[in-house]
Amino acid sequence: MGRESVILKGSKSGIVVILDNQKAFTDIIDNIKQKFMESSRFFLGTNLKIGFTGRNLNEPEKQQLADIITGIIGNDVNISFESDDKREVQSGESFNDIEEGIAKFHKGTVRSGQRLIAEGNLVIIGDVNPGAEVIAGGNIVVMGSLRGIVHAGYKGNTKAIVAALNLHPTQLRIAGIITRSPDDEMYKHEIIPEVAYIKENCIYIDSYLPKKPYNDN
Amino acid sequence: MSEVIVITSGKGGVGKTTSTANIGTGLALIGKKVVLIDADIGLRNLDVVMGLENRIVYDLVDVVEGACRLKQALIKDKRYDGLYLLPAAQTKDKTAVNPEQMLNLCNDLREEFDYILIDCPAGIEQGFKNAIAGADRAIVVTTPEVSAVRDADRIIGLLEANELRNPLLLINRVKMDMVKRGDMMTIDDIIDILAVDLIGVVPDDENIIISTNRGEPVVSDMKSRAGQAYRNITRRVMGEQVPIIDLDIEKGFMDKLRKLFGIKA
Repeated sequence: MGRESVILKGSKSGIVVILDNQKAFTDIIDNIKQKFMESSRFFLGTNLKIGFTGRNLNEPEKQQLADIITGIIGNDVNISFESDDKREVQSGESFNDIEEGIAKFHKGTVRSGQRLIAEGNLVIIGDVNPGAEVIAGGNIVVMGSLRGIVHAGYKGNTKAIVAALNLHPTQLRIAGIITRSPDDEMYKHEIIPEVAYIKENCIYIDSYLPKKPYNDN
Repeated sequence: MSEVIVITSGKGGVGKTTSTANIGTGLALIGKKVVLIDADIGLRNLDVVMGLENRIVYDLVDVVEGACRLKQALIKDKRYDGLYLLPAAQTKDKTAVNPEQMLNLCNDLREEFDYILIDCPAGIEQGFKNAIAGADRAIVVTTPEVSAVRDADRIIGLLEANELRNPLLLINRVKMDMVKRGDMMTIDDIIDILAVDLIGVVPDDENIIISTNRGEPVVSDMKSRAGQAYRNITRRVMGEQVPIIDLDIEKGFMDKLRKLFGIKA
């Protein structure tokens, strides 16, 4: 079975159309017409961003594709081509869905020398040991002890947070801000769940549980 | 005149990293400009021993790959001026760097520093080849154990094959009471086998473990015997003639008297 010459994919900012670069251009035109006709009602009246990728197109070809699509869906389309606007269509500038969005779950300890990267939010069910690095486009939550290097919002989201049951990172970074633990800190410290966030260009660390008034005997 | 010195051993766990940290800190105490390079990519430790782990942003691999400038990766020591660390990468392995890149790196650092100390990884593979590439001199660390001496011998052979002649020997973790009982190789036994010049003998000392865990090199501890040994080694590295300290402090008054009168105990 041959590959389809046109594949439609949804992305955060709209639709990405992946074009086969082996097949003839007329094939692709037919295929696009067919695909968009099938779903024309779905697209109708929406303000849509469409990006083309996977094939180098010359100017007349781009114009032809644009004409076909506006012909089917109407005028509310914003069309871009990979060479013009590659990043926006494919990945988005910085990851913004920190309230609600894709999250990666990692079970187990992240050990020294291991590096865990997530484009979206990152949840670690386990510890992060010294020498390990955990990096995410959004928030990072560690359901255990965080002792390694942590970088939340690494694409520049300053609203990202880091939370851990035991927050004692070697180094804590959010977006472009770096802090490190104080030098005089030795082994013993009380274990309280804490959260780190950026406020006025500084990283703050707070307990996120309410103070327990009856706890101090 | 700057000098690149590699600290190596072959066997692991004999004290390469501790020695690098202490000799480097010792040189900085005297007022030299020193940079320590951790060549143990993937198993870095020197930053922990120096207590600088939480300051690492860029590392050696970033420098050779051109991801940052050399100055950005150099970490200034928190206690001594003129002491810097170039940390290894932890998430890569030894093949991330090649000997030619290390040679260039050492030559770049020569312009800024009096001494460039390279902490070599254990083993004789790529990491070792990288570490010795830019070196002018070598210090071989061993302990008074047959296995460590065997590996030191192998390393001395490899160093000579790579045009690093006359390496200096550092014997670490000597227990004088065991030597006296005949349960441990003596310094003379080791020198007999290896036939190289001695740069120092470091006694076994619990302070080393304490200071390593704290990230404060023992060389700055004036009360520690290992610290004294490292201070002497530092001066020998700089070319001074310093006698090897007598490790036998257990000697009593009577022994000293006997020695004075030339009577053998």
